[in-house]
Amino acid sequence: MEFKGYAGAGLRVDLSTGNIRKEPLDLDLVKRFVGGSGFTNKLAYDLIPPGVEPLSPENFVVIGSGVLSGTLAPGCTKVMATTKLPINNAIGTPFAGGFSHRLKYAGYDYVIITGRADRPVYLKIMDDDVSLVDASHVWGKDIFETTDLLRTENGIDCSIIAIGKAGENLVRISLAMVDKFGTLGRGGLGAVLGSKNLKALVVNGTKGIGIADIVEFMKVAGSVRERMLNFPLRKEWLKLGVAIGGMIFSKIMGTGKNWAELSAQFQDFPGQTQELLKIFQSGYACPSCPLNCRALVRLKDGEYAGLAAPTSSILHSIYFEQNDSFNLNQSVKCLDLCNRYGLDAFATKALIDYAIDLYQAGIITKEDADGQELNWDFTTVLNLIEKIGHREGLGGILADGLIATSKKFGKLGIERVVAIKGLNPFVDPRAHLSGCELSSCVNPRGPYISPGAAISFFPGKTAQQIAEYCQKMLVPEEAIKRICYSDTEFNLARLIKYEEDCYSSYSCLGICARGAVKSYYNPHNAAKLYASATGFDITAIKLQEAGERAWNILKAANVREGFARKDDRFPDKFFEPLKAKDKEIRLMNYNRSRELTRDDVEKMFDDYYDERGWDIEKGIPTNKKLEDLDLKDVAADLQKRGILSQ
Amino acid sequence: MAEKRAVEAILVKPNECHGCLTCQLSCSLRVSGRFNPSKANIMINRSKNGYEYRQSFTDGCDGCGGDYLCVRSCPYGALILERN
Repeated sequence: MEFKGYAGAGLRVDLSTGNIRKEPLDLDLVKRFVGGSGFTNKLAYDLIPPGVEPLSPENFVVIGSGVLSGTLAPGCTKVMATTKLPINNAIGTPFAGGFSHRLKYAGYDYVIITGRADRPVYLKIMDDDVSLVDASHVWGKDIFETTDLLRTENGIDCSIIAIGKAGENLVRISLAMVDKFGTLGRGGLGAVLGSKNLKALVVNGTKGIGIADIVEFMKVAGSVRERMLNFPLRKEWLKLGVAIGGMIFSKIMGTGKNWAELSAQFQDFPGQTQELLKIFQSGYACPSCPLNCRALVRLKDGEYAGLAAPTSSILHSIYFEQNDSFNLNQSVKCLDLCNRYGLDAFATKALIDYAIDLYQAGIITKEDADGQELNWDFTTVLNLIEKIGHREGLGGILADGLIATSKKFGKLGIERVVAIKGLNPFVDPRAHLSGCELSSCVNPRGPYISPGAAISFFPGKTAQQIAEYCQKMLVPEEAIKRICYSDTEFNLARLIKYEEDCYSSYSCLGICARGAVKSYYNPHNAAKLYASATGFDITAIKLQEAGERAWNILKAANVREGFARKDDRFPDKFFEPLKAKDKEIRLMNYNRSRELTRDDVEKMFDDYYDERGWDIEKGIPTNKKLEDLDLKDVAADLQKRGILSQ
Repeated sequence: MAEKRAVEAILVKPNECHGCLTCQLSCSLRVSGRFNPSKANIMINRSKNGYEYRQSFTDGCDGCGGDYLCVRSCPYGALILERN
């Protein structure tokens, strides 16, 4: 059948045999899993053998495109890659902007990759002409050099996913980048591609995307676009992107020195904003997006003057600053080096902080550190980025991640590590319990900020505001009563379930996770766009349900790998005071009316699993929930494996 | 520096272009009935490093019979209609 909205086909690539096969889009896949991460999660569940070693040829990578990608639905350009991640053996889905539109123009909704090439190759997709091309000339080159070279060879308009040296060297915190700006990070996708000798994917296409009801589609898309263009802070957003929320980030992202204290650079955020504006060079948008958030920064003077660094957000420019001895130019240099090597900057920074902390505590010796002192300064950080990227000396240990490193340094090392499912948390809940940290704990793949980053990301919301938000997001009335149980307080853990389902449904469609973009979407206009694009009727409720289904199958894939409630654990560190300038900050509830204990947080997780309809004790989906979500096949599989009772 | 391009009435400001392809998508929908930048009459050419964009028009561009969809759809002010 001819699909509208969809490209209508998938691609299977076996790197071991060189076999490449195009397959028609399966209607059951479409009806149950909608598209995007719904497709990739389902295909990953079916394909990835339980227990497989992530860096073995038998692992799969499923790259998908949101259903609305490539159209004029504003800000819908998500590409996603589901695989078994080498940092923690979880099955997870890194997201980024771009690539997905060109993949669809070439005629594919997804690409399934397995095996291992016998030499470095890149996958070239040009409409029906799909081939594996020798990549020996770009192997060893950084991501930016690789992208520029492959663009020169394959046409300046093509879109490219590439890995750097870190991916080639199987560093377990490596990522892949999309067109030099987007990051497919958190968990080691770069190493998975590197283990397959796959340096890059290059795509372009001329087939285009048909739309079932153009008039209705353009009406809804136009309405979303007009409201985005009238975003009151649009002028500031186009330069600063998510950094306009600086005060919030200063609360939840500002912890430094291995989670011991609020970092200096985040204490003075208004001042930092002015510094960021000085290095802003130009903004870059994902296809169809009127709210660009990517930036090229250029250091105009001082150390590394002339350095031009593409960033997925200008906010990341300040991320490496440790203290007064570490300036913005040095931080940009660190970020740029991470991006060039294909290292996840957030995971790298956390690892380096951890290593310095262990050194300062006398747990890592100078000999362990290859004869060098590890201090809270630029020289140490830059040196360790180099070593991690190349797996040299101490970097070879750090390259396997926080948990592997901690085990090398015994009981004292293990005590000081702060990780959730083997990966550093993205945010610190002590200055503001935003929901992102709870969501990070229960996320099947490990800590990831986007699914929990919605209304509660901002402090000071009232129960009334939460209730109104829930109504807009189609949360059932009885659930709203559970969430907004009093006039002054609300249940953050129960709210997260609905935030995640909404995020998941948006990820099926390709709607961006940036708050400024997704706030212009709701289940109603999202469902209308889907229906008018594809011709498949769907209600807003059914779209949310599809999001819940996609979330549950990803969870089930991880339950099959052995993950359960024991892994959804708030780090001990978060129950210790956080040092700030003149005070100590303790973990408190959203309203900051009372301090939270471990028992309080566990009770929150109870509520979360209850709201999900999962087994509270085990923290996993039940037979009933899976069957209610039309996932009987998944329930049967988990029963067969003895994970669920028959 | 603003400069006039092939279609006299459209003023192109390359430095304002953010590479969102909205103009191409709007144009291709009119020209081919599909979202397909390769069919658009406006072309967005990236520089080798991907940081700059240059716009040009095919001979097939007729200004949408006066509608100038690319100009109307550009969210970044890179295309401006200049009536003679």
